[in-house]
Amino acid sequence: MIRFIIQLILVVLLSYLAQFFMPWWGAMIAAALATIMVYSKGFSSFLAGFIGLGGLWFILAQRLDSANQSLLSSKVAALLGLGSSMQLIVVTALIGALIGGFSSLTGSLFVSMLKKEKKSNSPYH
Amino acid sequence: MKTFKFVLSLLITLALGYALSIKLGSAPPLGNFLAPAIGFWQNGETSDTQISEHLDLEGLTDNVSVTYDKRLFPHIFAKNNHDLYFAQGYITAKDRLWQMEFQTHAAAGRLSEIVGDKALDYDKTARRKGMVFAAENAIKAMQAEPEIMEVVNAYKEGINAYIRALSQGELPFEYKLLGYKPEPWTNLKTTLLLKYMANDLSFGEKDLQNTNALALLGRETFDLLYPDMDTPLDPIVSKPGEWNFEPILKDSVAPQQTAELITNKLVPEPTIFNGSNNWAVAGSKTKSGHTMLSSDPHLGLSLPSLWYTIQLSAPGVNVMGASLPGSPNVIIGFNDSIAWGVTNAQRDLVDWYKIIFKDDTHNEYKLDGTWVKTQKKIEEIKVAGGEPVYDTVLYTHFGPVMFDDSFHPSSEKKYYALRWIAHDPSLEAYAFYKLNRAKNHSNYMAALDYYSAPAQNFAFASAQGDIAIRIQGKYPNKGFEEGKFLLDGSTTEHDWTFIPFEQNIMCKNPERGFIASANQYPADSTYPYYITARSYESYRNRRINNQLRAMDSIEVTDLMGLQNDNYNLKAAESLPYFISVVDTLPLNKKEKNALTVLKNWDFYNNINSKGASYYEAWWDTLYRLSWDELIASKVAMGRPTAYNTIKLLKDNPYLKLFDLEGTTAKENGYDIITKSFKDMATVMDKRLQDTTITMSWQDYKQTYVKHLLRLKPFGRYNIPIGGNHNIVNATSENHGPSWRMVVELDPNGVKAYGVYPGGQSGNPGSARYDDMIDDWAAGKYFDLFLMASPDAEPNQTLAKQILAPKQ
Repeated sequence: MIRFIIQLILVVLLSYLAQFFMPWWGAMIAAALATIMVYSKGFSSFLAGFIGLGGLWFILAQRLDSANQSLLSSKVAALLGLGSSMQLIVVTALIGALIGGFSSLTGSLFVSMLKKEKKSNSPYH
Repeated sequence: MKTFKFVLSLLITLALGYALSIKLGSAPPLGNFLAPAIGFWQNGETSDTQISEHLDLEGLTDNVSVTYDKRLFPHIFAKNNHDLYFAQGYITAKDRLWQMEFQTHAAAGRLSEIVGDKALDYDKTARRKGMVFAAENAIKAMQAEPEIMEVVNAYKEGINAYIRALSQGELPFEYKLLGYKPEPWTNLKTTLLLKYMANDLSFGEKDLQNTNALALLGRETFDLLYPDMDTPLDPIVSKPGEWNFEPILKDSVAPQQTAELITNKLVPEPTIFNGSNNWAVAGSKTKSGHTMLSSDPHLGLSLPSLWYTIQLSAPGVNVMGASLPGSPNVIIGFNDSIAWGVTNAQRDLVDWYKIIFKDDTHNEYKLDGTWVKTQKKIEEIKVAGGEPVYDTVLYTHFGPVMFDDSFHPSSEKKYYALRWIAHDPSLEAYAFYKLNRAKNHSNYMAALDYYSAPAQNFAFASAQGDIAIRIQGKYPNKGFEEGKFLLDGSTTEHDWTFIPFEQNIMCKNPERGFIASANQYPADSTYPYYITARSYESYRNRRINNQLRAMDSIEVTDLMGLQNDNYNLKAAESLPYFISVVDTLPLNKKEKNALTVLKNWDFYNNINSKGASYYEAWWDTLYRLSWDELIASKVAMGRPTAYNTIKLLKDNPYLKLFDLEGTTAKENGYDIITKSFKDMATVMDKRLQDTTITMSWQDYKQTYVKHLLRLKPFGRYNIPIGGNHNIVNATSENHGPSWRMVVELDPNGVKAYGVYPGGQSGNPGSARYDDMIDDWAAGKYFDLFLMASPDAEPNQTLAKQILAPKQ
């Protein structure tokens, strides 16, 4: 559980920092990096990335939107056929969650693949 | 197994990343668009507009001070010309970059690059019109004038300083939506912007329609339908017998009387409702004794707005008014000594020449008995999401060949070359530069000597007490009906020569104490040159002139009232006659109801008026029925003006064209007035049953201001404003006063007021995007403070900013 929480915090922290000097997909690298740095099993990693990046994007979008009093998001929502600004925030968060989840999963599976290789090379096995 | 899992997960992740990086259908690339740190969320502005106090900009030579007033109008104070126009470019780009670039892309025929192949026909049209050719010619002319080149170069540098510093997050919203980026600004773009306006204002013509109409209808009907002057003469300048110059008259040239039908699909024309009002009143007619000037250009209503309010101050200039984003200087405005405003001068500035090519290679064409080589220009049109398209445009002695085998071809091989005034080298930017600095009437005259196209009626007033108007442009000197029809392109006989500028129509301080123009016939009948145009307006001018004649002790508010005047002169002149036709007929209940509403109407198209809705519905139906053959015709033909239609219905009710297509009966003018009345009554009764809408003129007309990309949620709809075509407040559905200005030239300090249907910010995520629309609709104005210094109006100041040279 603690490992999961550390992972989660790391995903949020790294992807928050990445956005200042990388394109939007910097968040994907950050989420993968987080689970490489602190490994846990696949599903738990997926969840850390999913909740971490999804939550981060939700909060960021929601804060920007509230400062703008939903002036722009209501128009964009209508343009994309969505019912409200909140739906647009949720869609944004969902996309963040999906890419976060899969990036973290990929990071975790990368580590476990290396571990396996290490194990097979081990003389004690 | 673990390797397989990793690879699978990696592939899914990469696929997601890829899918979010590309455009899927019409959706933007979602990664860039939605990621909160760089996506559209960043374009939402906070309610208190953030303005940096200090910016270091590479390219400035000295500090520039910018004061933003409460309306976000920037007042720029620079220490030299270079820095002034650099700052104008920078500040305008900050608020309007996307629009500036989009409009120049449109002018250059490059929209397919952004929106894909649905814009191909639009792009080919722009290129075949020679828009870039025209802009390049304008640049060549400017290069001979170092003073204006400095201005244009500095303006460009300012825009580029803004573009260079843009991060992905700061990109204007529309770039993110469409998934592209701004390119560096160029002088070509600046000149293209002016050609974009020229296209809107001077491409109105009907030579080809006239040719068809003459062939199909015969001379007698043609003259009835499309006379050169179909208007009760209340011209812009009337000085019978006092045109004191030696005109260079051409021998009358008979029109090319071929029975030629032009079966090509013609390109869309600018709307006939592009027009405007302006006037100036002498001190003798005003309460304060100061001259006053009003100007309201009528154009398509769009967001971001066409206009941008700005004050430009540097040694030698202190001017304020409406600027066009993408072009330096103020276009309609005032300084402490003078004010000026423009309306479109109605004049035929387009001619078509029939070209005879030697063979299918189109390498040579016939001219004065010999074969002359064609210039071929290959246009590469890039297409978003597709392969580039190539279009070969043939250039002749007259200009580009618009219609040929590869563009809107007809069943037979026909080639028509275009001669258009906007192709000629010209120096409009220099004219505005000089006008911005003018102190008196002679400076104004000298400035206008640099102005060629699109032809405009320049109204003028000065604090010294002069008023004047000059119908300025470079006008081809035509023989009778020359260029009213298709011309013979195998001879140079119809080459354009020009009326000398000093023989253009103009006047200063006329006895009546005012000057005014509203796109009417320009001069009294003794003006020696032949004049024709696609059409003239015949109502706004008479209403304005009647009101100004009657007014005395005029105050600024009177002139604002006149700009917002909703009196429908067309209805006042036509409705009593229409009613007299149907009044004695047996009518059903809904028809009786419609008639009652109409009889009780006061001829004002105010927002609550029901009579206006019924009248306009009747008129639209009647107009369509009157010219049903012309509208349905397979070959393009022009439509008679509203004024002439009413005149023919009254004076010539048995005109053969009034007979309806597709009926066995033989209808005349009375019949179609009756039929259109009954049709209207049925439609209006149906509307009456619908409880979701009212019969008010506002709800019937539904004025809207649309986003340039026609994105519905980004426009404003059902705006509460009266008026219509042919009314001084010329606001129709999506067209009308795009800027309103009234100036009082008090020698102790000019007082000026302005408003436009939009806002200073081009960002749909800003509250300033459309914040003036309601005030505009209500006929309110804002102060235009011509500040003497950055600190002159502390109570009106929202923020101050220093632009400093980067060390």
